[in-house]
Amino acid sequence: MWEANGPHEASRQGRAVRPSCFAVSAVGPARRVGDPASAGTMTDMADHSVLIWSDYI
Amino acid sequence: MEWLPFDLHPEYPPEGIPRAELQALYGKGFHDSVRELVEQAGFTYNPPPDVVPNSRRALEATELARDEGLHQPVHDRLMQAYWSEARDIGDEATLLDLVAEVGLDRDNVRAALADRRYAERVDASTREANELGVHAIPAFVLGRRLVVLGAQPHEVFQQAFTQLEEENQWQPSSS
Repeated sequence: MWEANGPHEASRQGRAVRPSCFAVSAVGPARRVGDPASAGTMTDMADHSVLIWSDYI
Repeated sequence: MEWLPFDLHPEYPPEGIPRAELQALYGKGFHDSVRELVEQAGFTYNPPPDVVPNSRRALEATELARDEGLHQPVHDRLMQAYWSEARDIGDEATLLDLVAEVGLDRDNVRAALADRRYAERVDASTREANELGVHAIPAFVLGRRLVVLGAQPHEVFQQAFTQLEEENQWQPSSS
């Protein structure tokens, strides 16, 4: 819904400014959350089935 | 279910930006559509009319709350304050008032913000999201397998959960 550097970056690049709209997409097998590649990070929490990244604004 | 911090606009100055600047870029129609969605969900849409805050300090204070077992009340209080009560959560005095309301020690929060105690955690979380291809929020990772980006309708989540069930990947937690 809110893009990082959204209107600013889009405007700078001359792209149309509009809300993001995405479909469901699979995380590539090499970057599955919880894989050893992400061990030690905040998402290395096997008991959490839903993670939500968010900001307040 | 776990909420993780994502610093959406690190480029904002500490005092935030004029809301008029954002409205000029997105257009009034966009904000009207957000208002409609929020009100349809039964919430009051009333963000600060003059400023879009820099949320960095709010994100860092929320991590302190996480460590003290108060993440949910602090997160909920700040969301409510910003979106429905027109509070500038980027203003440190306002932020301290709000988090103190739900149990955090004001002096401890002030000290944590001053020494940037949680800065690296917020940065790491944002980096990790970026590495997963997350550049829009809210971003949901379901069953450690599927990413849903943005505020999507129920049907999208139903589709995702169905897909996970079919792949035997979905193991609901008790939280």
